[in-house]
Amino acid sequence: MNELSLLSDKQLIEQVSNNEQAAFAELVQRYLASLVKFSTRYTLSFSCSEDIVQEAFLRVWRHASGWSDSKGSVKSWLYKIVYNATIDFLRKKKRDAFMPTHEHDIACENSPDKMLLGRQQQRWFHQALSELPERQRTALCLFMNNGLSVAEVATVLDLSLEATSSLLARAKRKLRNKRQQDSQLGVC
Amino acid sequence: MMNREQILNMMEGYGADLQSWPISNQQAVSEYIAADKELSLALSMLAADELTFKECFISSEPLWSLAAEKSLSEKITSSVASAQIVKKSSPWWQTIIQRFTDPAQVLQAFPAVVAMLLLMVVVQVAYKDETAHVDIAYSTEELRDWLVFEGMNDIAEIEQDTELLIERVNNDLGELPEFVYYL
Repeated sequence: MNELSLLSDKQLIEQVSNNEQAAFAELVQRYLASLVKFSTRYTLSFSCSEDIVQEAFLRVWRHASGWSDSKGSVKSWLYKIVYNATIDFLRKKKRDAFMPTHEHDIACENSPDKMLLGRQQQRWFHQALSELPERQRTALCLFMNNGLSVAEVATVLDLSLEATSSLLARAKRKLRNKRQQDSQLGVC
Repeated sequence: MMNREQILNMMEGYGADLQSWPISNQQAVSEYIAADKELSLALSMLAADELTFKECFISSEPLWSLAAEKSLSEKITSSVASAQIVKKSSPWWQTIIQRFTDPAQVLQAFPAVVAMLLLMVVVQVAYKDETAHVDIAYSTEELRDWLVFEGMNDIAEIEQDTELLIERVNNDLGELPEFVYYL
């Protein structure tokens, strides 16, 4: 096992601020895939998201010394950079953010052995998710899919802890209510 | 003390995993839930919901190939290694703040600061002694003005005093026809 892989994100970013390229490579390896996948949920294009994430990592390299505990965890800092860059990209493209992925050309991790839910349920989930306001979708995705804590989600979205907690609560409640309604109608 | 309604609201926000709740609430909430069967049931239902949502998220995650990941990772690290990516140094004011808030640097500078303060005290004491002997030049006109200011309004008295003073000074310091050097 690589020695650097044992270091915490904070230790890594401290080394990156001292121009340690190996530490930077470790940080890239740790978060690259999840950041690209997160961004692709919005851009619907791997190549666009790859560019966004590459630029985000270069920004991290240049400004690593500017990171401090007050900016939240390194993980939330990275997600915040990528999220903001993605939203900027979408604004320029004037495209709606966060479309359900399986409706488009991007292959999803829904191979038979990985598929835990029925196709119908997945479709229902995408539909329900797309009906949520953008902030609620993002908060839910970061919390449920990317494993960020409520505090980290709050950092990414520039919200207070209470506001984020209530945002997540509203999102979950809406999904649950929709499922209840749709199951009565036999949709899901 | 939190009530049932508040706990239910927090459950939705912070999730079914009590470990992700604010540390200050964890103990009280777990005790409350352990004592309340309905809350306990609500928590397990929430956990099941979250699991379903998580599975939905995972199954809908875009499938990005390992080869693409490796290629982009190499691209990023090699671009950093190239000389074109210059690290932006932190602004000067940030460096000063960091220097003054870094305990190691403050401790290092401490003896120098103390020595400087002592030197300032010594200089101030020496300066105080020196002021008693400082030479100030006054013309006779200025001396007259001063004597008027001091309350010697009588011209004769002033003349007399001035003469007396000049005479004294002349005796002590030699020839000083126009200026008086001591008051």
